Amino acid sequence: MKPSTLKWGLPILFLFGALPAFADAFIAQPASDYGLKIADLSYVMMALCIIFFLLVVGIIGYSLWKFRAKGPNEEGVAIHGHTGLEIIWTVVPALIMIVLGVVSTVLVIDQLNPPKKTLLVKVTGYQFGWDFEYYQSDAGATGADFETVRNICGNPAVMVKIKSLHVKSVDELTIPMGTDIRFLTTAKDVIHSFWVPEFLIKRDMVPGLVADLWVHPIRTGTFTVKCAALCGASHGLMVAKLHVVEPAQFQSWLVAQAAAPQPGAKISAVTN
Amino acid sequence: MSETHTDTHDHPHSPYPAWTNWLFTTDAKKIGMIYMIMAFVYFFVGGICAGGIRIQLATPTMNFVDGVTYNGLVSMHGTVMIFLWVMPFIAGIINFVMPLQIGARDMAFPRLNAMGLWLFNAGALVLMATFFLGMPQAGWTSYAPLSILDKKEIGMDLWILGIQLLGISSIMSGLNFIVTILRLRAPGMTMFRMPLFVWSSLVVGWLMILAMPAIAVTLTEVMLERHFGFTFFGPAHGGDPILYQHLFWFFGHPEVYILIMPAFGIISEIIPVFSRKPIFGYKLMAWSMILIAFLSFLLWAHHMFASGMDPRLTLPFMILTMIIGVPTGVKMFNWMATMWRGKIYLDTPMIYALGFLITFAIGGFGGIILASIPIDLHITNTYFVVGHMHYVLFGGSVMAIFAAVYFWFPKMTGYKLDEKLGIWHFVFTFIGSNLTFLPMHWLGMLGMPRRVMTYDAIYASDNLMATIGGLIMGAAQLILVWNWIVTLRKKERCEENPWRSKGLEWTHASSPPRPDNFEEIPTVTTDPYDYGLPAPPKAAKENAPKDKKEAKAHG
Repeated sequence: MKPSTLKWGLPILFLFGALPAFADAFIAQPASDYGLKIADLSYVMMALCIIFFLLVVGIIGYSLWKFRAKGPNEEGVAIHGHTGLEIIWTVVPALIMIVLGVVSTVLVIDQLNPPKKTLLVKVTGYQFGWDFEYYQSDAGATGADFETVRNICGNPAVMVKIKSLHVKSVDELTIPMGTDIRFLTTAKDVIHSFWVPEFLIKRDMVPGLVADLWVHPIRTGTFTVKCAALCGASHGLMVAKLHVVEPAQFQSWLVAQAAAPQPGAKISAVTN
Repeated sequence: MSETHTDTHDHPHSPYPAWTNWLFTTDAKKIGMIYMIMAFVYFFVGGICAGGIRIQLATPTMNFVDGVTYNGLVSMHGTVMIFLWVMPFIAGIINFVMPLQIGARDMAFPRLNAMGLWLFNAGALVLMATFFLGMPQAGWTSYAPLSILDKKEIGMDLWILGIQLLGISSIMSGLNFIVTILRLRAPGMTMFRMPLFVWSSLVVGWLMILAMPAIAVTLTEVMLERHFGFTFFGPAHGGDPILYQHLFWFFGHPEVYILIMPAFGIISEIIPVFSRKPIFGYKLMAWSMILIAFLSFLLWAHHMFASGMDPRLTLPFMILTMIIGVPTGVKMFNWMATMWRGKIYLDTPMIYALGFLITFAIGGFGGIILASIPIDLHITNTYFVVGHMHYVLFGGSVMAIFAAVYFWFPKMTGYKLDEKLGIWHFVFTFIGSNLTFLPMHWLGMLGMPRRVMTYDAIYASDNLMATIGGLIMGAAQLILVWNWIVTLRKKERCEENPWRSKGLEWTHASSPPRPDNFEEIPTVTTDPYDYGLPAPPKAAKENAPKDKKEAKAHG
């Protein structure tokens, strides 16, 4: 009974565990070019992990098959260690980690260097909803310019050099496809987190702090913005709609929104 | 459990009734037993919280609890399982086993030990009070400003008080472990003759006394901010919410290793005994624990990659996180190499140890995926993290705890737990836990945030599977309870050393041990794990290069 439970337990586990995984994908369908890279890296990582997992299960399974005691009072071979082997299984994983570390660092640096000319969307979270404000960054903007943009998000009274502030859209986010978009995230009360699973990136929205992330959407569609930080009783209901639309459609949407401004939508843009 | 057997020795002329022997005891073994029994009580409390969560998540439209209760259950499940189940069990098993393994009569500071125990019980009762007065709402991490916003929320105050008491208790335990191991070893037991469980106890002791003060300070600040007009974390008056996360995780990450380190020790004890072979690479196993413990203080911010801290600062934390994967991987390989060319006996403790190797491996892989910042920014704060963390804590710590229960139960009581029931317990625990936690990985990858009480319909089938798995896992624990009842009722004394272990606790102490552990303190003359027959010189030469080839092919 002992060996049979082990023999049957694993296959059953994998049968049940893997079925729904094959029905869906393992990972959100990327809707941005950065998301594509993350998905690729994730698949490579998962494949590596599965290979190593099979190695572990293989070694354990083989040992159980080959080195099971046949009777009472048996003794194994008194091997205390093997320096060469230990060096191998220290160095090989370390090398894999180095490769993974380098690839990850490249992607971090990618996120750290957003394009100069982007659509800016300031995302403000609160219990339990979202504000989205749209800004257009200057074509010739410099790094310093971004700092001032950061300032306005922390403190709306600060002057800022931006072309225009168009609209404020509550609980609904519309952005153009094929454009670089930079999200500035902050919050009013407690920590929230801005996450569009299809962009495969999230950033916390921390009161008193402005953080950022940028994306380049590559397909249109309707997605869900989710709050990914426990923020109170209705945390699970704190979602917003995200429409990724064609640029022309976005422009007409903007015009329509600007024609009917909502309260609190206007912050005078002053050139400094 | 072993009360009738030992209490006559404890206080021969005590005028008090027998139960006070337990209340006033300073015997590390009794203190350990109380810790472990209480831990199992709270294991079931935490399990009921988990049951509530899983029932609410069984379907997307379930309306089992409201948002406040749900967040309370989430907060208390994490708190109870970490602080009232794994932590006290660790304290208990170390108290019981470690002095026996090093040939000591008791801990270095028996009264401090007793004080730590009762502070733990007090703290646990304070936390239990939240179930009646209002559960904390901010999760086991209690991130500010959520934890400081509602100043009338009594659950949060009780939570702070409870954790402070538990923290002090842990510091006392940690200090005791360190001093006992450094000062009370039997003659001949040099540091590198200590069993690896003792090494893990030493490392845990250091982790406790260095990490717990950080949470004490942090929670004191939260308390001052909640009720005494101070500002540390609230942005309204210039506080910094990110500071809370740095402080919390400076405690929180070593805490993770407090929970897993004794598991490393337990598994290192069990695999050699049931493989009839010395542990592979003893010194590397000891050093890797020390290295892991040291590194665990340097990677707290990998919990905060998405927090908005300066992204340039995240890189060193990613690199250090990847580095800690290396000694952990070395341990995995060394455990597997210990089985190689051994004679493996599949008794229940060994089956749990093998279960540990498999599930902990999955937990480790999840950790490496999470270490990569760009991937982490997608899956942090999602169900992927929940899945990973449960593979490490349930598949790692709890599997090892079960292994320890089956392994040392004969030492604690003189009775051996039923093997058949033990295997059924394992089978259902293993299947149930994997059904529960494996789908969580792709739920997170697909887009389900953690700590939510509802979700999109596309995640329904995986969630239902997780709920079914959770119920199987919960029901499986009743088999363990049944096993205790059956075994303790049968009163069928087993052999003194049913596993043919060569640890001091088995070779030189009776089962259960006398109050002062040993009739005579043994003198240690050999290395630990002195199992196996010396290999014939020729065969050893032939096999060494073959093994190497094998590993290279796999590597």
